[in-house]
Amino acid sequence: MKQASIFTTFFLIILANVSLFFSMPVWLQAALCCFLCAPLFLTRKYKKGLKWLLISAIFVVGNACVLLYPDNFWGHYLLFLFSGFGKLLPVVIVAVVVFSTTRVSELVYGLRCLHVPQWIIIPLSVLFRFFPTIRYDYRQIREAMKFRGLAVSGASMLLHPFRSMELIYVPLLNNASNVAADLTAAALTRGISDPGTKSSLTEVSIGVVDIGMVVVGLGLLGCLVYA
Amino acid sequence: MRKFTGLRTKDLINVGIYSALYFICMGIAEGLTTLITGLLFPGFTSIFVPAMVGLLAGPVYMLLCQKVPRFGAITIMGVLMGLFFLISGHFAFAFIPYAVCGFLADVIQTVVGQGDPQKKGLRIGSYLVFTFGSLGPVLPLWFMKNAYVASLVKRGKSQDYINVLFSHITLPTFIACILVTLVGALVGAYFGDKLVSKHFTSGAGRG
Repeated sequence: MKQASIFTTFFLIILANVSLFFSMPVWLQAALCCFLCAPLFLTRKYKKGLKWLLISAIFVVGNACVLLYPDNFWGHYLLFLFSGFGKLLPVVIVAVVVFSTTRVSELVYGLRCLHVPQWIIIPLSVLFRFFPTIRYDYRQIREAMKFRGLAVSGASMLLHPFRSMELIYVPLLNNASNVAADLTAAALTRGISDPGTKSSLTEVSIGVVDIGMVVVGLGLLGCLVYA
Repeated sequence: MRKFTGLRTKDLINVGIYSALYFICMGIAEGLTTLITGLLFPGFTSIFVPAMVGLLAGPVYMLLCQKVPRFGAITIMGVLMGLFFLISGHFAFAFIPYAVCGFLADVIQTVVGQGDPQKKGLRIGSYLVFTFGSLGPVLPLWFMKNAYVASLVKRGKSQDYINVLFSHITLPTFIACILVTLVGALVGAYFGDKLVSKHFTSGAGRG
């Protein structure tokens, strides 16, 4: 099945943010979270999709049950936890969807269609491209540290905060400047600094999935306003 | 591109990479603070987040200053961070402080200090200003308290709940928040500066 286009992703971001302005009943919150998880399933990330569905379920159930808890300090704390974080849940799910399903080429194409200036597009696309690298690097650095018997556990890492920060930052930043040089060479070779109109290899077309998503989303938005 | 003629493509790519690192630092800071203060005194989390960001992100900022000593880099980083806050549901209140602080920090660093690596004081000052941008998502707690309380009452929350929620949102804690942020950012700035001059100047290793 064809996955949703980048414009639908933009729509989902707006929808999740608008939802913050409304207080919603529990069933609507559940529906919204399920709907926002849908792109994960469309891109065949079933495991991640199920995980976030489970988290949403915990929050929805928690939100419904928390008022049964006695009205003391812990009750307030739980209420704060469930209703506070629960309210942010749609935004968090959208962030997960954006980071795990968007391809950089598509994002750049979408932003160009919206006439976002070049000095935002280039750093933003680099940023998206760079996140997985940071994660990979961090794991490598931690492995290397453990191999040398440095800060093996989390506790010993916190015991010498400045030393462990130095040990992690220096290779990470060093690699960052290397990657910057590589990316610059690659991007200049592909003509990123050319002032003319850019063509795109990625074809973005509005399909049935997009129309379906937008219609369901608008429906939920309608429920949100009138609920 | 016309707006920032001083920046080349290489600089823009550098800005992107350091923004990613800054963003990660911010995420870690938020996570750590929630974990630590959440256990000790829940509710105070948001007060310590900016300080933690200042503490952790120093090296990243200092290295960006060294790599791109031109006007625009820090502004763009501020705008990008603001955009993230905007998208993650912190509204325009978070976007404007970050963009403005980024711009001011940029002016201090590259217009007043002219990106000179010798001017350590100005660089640290600009980092302090930049860190105050991360106060953005916290500020509405004080300035919009009344509106927020009203909306909570309308939503049927009990007055007790609201009192617990806002018992610590007062003027003293506001000042404390600013002081803590200042200290965190200062320590982060000194640490970052030391790290960068130790490992990333032309004398030491590669850079």
